[in-house]
Amino acid sequence: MSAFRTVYAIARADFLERVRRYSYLVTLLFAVYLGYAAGTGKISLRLGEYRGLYTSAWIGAMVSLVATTFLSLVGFYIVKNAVDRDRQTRVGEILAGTPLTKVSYLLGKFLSNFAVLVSMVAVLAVAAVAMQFLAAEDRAFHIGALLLPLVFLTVPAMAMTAAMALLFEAFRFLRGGVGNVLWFFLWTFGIALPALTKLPQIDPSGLWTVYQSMVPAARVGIPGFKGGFSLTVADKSVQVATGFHWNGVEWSLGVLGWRLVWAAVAIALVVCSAWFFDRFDPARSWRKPGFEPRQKGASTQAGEAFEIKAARARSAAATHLTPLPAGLRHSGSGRLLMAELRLALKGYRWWWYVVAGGLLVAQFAAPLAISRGPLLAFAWIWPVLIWSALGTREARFGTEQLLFSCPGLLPRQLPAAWMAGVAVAALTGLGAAVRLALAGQHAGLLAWAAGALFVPSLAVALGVWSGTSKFFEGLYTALWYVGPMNRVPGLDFTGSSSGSNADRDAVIYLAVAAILLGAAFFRRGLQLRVN
Amino acid sequence: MKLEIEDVSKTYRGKVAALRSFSLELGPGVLGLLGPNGAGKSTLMRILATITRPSAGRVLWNGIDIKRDPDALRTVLGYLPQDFGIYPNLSAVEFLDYLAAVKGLDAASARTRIVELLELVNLADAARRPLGGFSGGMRQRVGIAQALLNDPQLLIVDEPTAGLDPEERVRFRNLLSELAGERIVILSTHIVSDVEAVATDIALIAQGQLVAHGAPESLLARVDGKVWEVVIPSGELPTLRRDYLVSSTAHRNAGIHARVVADAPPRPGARALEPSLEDAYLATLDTHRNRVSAEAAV
Repeated sequence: MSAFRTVYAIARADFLERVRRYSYLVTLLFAVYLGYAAGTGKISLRLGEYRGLYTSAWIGAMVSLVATTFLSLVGFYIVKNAVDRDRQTRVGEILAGTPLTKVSYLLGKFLSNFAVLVSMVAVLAVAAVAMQFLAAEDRAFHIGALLLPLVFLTVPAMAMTAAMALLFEAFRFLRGGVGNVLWFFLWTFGIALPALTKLPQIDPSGLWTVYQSMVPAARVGIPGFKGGFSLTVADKSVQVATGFHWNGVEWSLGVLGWRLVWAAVAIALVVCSAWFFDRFDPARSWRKPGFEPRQKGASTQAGEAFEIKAARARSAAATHLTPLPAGLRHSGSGRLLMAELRLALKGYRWWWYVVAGGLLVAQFAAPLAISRGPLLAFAWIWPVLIWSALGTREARFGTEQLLFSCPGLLPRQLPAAWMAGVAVAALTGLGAAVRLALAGQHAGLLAWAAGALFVPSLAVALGVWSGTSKFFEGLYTALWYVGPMNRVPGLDFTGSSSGSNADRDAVIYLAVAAILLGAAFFRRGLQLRVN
Repeated sequence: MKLEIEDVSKTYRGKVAALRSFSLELGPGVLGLLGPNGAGKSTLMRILATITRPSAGRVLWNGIDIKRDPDALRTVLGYLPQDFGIYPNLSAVEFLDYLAAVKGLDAASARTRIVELLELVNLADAARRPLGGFSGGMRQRVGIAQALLNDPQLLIVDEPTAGLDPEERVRFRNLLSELAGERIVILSTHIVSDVEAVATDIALIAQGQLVAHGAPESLLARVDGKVWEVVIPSGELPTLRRDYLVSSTAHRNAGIHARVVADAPPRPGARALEPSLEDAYLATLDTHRNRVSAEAAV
């Protein structure tokens, strides 16, 4: 009984701490936007060129899949700070001194993560109900058909997301940016898991469950249906299959059993996380202490008197401070740029530089199409953690007060940090730029330059506005995957797949970079004029 | 060189008043800013360091309003906040060099200055180690060093000795005394002994208001002839505390030796003592609280 109370207390405190933050409101607004996007057809469930009538079953399945797909991606980044918050606030150290077990602690955090995600699902449930009434394509309202997909498909998927976020927090190397980038790929893998394994049951997202029910029905009910099942950010016209009536997923024991299995897997993941969780022991988190002798305790008056004498003697012998000559207080911006660049590159292991160097050499050696295509793409995902620190480092390490009391900060430090980011992009992608220049491809070179300016601008803007590196890490990885990797025109900021539109795309990216940079300056200006 | 604080008030969201019409004028020397927790010391420090803007009133540095032109002060400001962070992957030298660049120091001056400062704060041996492995006291010393990087004319240090061991505390106090010659140093703390050791001037703050300001002697004069030592059985201590301001107690064989601040001897046989700054601080705060309570009752 006591263990349940402990888990509940941890979950409750964490949940209250979260929902009383301004960011929670933003989270709910995101859920409202998803509901709006689904309701207005911006995101739609399609069967090839068709969609079904907006019946309770169709809307329930669609909203459920929207929630499962998008919330499992974005929601992960939203909830992946439950343990970190306790680390930052140092509440964790207090908890670590209590008899609290790791499993109880993590289960409490899991429940809080889960509650936050479910609250977003609840917003979408309301949106689903509203959508059927507003669309008015089918007057028959079936509450079960509308909401059961959210309960049976989405809720277990949210449990998995909540658990994965904790698992990532438990592993030291997954806590930060590496984990944020990795999650995007893991999420993509999770969605594709039933197709990859040919095992329809291995379907944590529930996407395949709907597919298996909907597509065979469509083959019978939609004349001319050639296959296809997708949840798309729609930009093409879609035909409404008016004669097609799908009654929804049949919730057989087998289907429900597998959904329960995923909920159980989520719990198991939480329990497994406890094995890796350091329980706020700094010796396991960072370098072991021991660089200097233990601090002395409170000394007696006699002891202090002795120390005073010793300190005075040492103070007298200490180096004098040379007064700074007047006029030396305005170093060039190059010095600050170098300092920012050193700060950006510091802390990476040798193999990071080896890979970056290897990619650079490969850009010089490979055929031009490969050099400016996949090689440049990989060269520009490799420093993602360097860029994601831009604009957030001050908040993350608590150095704002030291920096914000320095003179001329706005016109000096932020541009220097941004230029350091540009320098990283230029250095890591130098091979492709040289190749483009040698080949006389000026449009390509312009596109390359636009990309090199765009990426750090996006990083600085998102960093300064959000105060966290997570948004850039998630958004940039997704953009990189869709654009440079899958060569979606317009989204490829390296310009390698722009074809004849390279000039136009480059100008657009340059304009966006300028806007983002302006937004970052505006926000930093507000930060400097605090309270 | 003059710092003028004119009727400065600060009200946070939720109408929490941290400072109320606070005025003070400072010239070269060490001002010890004393006050209990939550008195408004850190708010005042942040306002003076141009981090926070006052809700009302103004702060003038050599006649220039720092709200309008914060850089006029920032170029000559050294600030050690109560809580500050470091970049764990940088060494002390690299971190100080980074901040020197942000403050606008050229490379040659910064290099010399950093070496001297690391000697001064006793971190020369650890200068090349990553800050992530530093203890709390070592980080605090890095904070002290960064505050002195630009040879500041105004040095603001907020609870600077927190986390320092006694030897380092004394070393830092001595350093502050040495630095005070031609600059204004504001030392905010609730450790009376730190102020006693170095302050040429003391300001006492409570509930966001300036309660007293003057030389240490003038504060001490307030309790001259009012500090007593009485020896009582331990059972009488609660009664004594209820009736008088007890500034300290010590258990001895004969009973409890209590140090009492009172206009007249609190018990027969009470022995008059030389007042300490702590007695003066506690007595002044006590008087202020009683006055505020009386005003609230009216």
